Amino acid sequence: MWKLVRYQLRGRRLLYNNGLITMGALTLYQATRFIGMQENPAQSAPVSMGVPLTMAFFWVMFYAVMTVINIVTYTQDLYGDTGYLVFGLPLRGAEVLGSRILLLVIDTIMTLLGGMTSVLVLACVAPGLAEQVRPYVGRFLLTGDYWVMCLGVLAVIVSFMTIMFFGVTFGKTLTNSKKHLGSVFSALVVIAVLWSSAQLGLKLETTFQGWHLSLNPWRYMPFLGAGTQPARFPLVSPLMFVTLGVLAFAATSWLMDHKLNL
Amino acid sequence: MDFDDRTPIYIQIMDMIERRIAAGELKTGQQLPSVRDLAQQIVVNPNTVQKAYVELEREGYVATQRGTGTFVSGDHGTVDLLRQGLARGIVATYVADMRSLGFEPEEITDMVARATKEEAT
Amino acid sequence: MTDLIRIDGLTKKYVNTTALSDVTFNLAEGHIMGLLGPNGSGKTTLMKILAGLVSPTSGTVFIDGLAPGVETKASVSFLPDVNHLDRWMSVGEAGNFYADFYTDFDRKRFDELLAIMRLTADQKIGSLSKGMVEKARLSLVFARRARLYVLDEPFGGLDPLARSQVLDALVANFRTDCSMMVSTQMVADVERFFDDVLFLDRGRVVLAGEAEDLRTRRGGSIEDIYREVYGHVETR
Repeated sequence: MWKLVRYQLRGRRLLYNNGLITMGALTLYQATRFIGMQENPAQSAPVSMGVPLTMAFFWVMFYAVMTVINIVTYTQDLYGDTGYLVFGLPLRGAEVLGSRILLLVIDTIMTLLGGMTSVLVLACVAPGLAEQVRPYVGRFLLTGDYWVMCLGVLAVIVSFMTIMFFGVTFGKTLTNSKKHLGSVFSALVVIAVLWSSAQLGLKLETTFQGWHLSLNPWRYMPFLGAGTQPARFPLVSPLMFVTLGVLAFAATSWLMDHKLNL
Repeated sequence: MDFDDRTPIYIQIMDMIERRIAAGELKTGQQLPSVRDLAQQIVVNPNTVQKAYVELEREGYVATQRGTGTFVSGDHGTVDLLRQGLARGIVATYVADMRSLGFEPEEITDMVARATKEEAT
Repeated sequence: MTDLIRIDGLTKKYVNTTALSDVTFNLAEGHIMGLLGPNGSGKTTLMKILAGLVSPTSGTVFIDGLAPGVETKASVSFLPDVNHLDRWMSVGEAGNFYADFYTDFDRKRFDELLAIMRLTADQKIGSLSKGMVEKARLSLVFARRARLYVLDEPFGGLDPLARSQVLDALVANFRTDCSMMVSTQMVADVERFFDDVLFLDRGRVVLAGEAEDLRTRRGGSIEDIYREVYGHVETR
């Protein structure tokens, strides 16, 4: 599997290089928007806060593009001719899917770290905001709760995407439909899975009312207005989502190994 | 070598080798090309060449020594018999063809005599 | 002689169609089998099942005693009838890819085949003509010392010279410890390479046997028999 990951990363080299350079350029551009802003904290803070937030938005877009490319390439392999190369390799379905999930994890971590870096850098030079932010950056980065929250988000995103992979694979294996019908079918599968999981989640929530995770990721960022009260993050729904993701991974691997129709 | 795909190829290979033995091109004791080499030369499935060699061995024209190769076997008498046999076949075909055109036996013999005389000059 | 392929009652059904119906045959080790039939007869489906790319609906398929899966993919070298390579890959990179994932890939043989086909490692797949892409893919497939070679229309898109080059390479690379299954429309050009032939029509086996045996029994070439069986011949 690692050989496959190496090849996929190599194939993405251009995307990563160009993408990261673009993000760097955008960060610089965003920084220039600070020029001309007043140093008056009360007036500038809300305005200048928009800059790092916009940057965070760009990062989300970057991540969305990479993820879409990930799943579109996989779909092309399933429906097109290049699939003969990948699926003809002596690899188990779990390895083929695993390499894509790993790519997703790499993308997510890259976006998180890159995003955090550029957003914090901008926040630290934002007029009106900088003095509030700078003293707390160090402590913020060491806030365990924040990283736990990030891990939770990573797990949920990966599980969500795994369900998408399952939908796409299901459309091509059991039904063997040609491109567009298969896409519709897989979209329906994903929607059905997500809807039924939401229903199940609600039911479980009422049963396990006491199950919450108390996190305070913004503890050291008092200016964000969250105060020092810990927030209650639901535990059951994300756990269930991750379970679904694991099931989707197993089901997709099985379909690839036993029900493939290229 | 041109093959007629309509009849078994191994038989055509056998015929080719038998002709060459009869004509003296392949002498007794001479080694035949290996199955692989001959297959590459005439561009045919090596299994077909193998089958031809096996059948030739069964008819007694060649003998295979394991590890060394396939050699033309038999003595002067065998080769002569082969030559005669092949010649009879050629003559029979010729005569039948000429008869089908309506020629009489004496005419056929005359034409053969004239043709061999011309060929000699 | 052992059977490399044993197929019994193989059926493949899709939602609307049946691609293969009750196909049964064996292929001995060291033999070359010609898979013949018009378009839509099920040849490509059968080959994809052997390559592990399509799953059977029912029946059994054994390659070297194993059902198609991860292990068989390591010993089956498949040439699809469409270009399966990335257009941005170079010939050399494709070779590296194969070498990385297939332990039976013989780099020296790959270089030799490229030389015969007049290709160089730095050429990008996207820049090659259809015939050259075909030759590149054939080089990749034959550079593997596989147990079973499954070739789907390997001669399509090749000019007569390239065809004879490929046939020469086929004979030169023939081994008794492997087998080949070749589907082709160019029956006349290739029939002298077949030990066995299998005729498919709409997913069913209509005629099977040893090539030389069929020549004797039916008094004609395999191409003649093809015409008899299907009523016409599709020439390309």
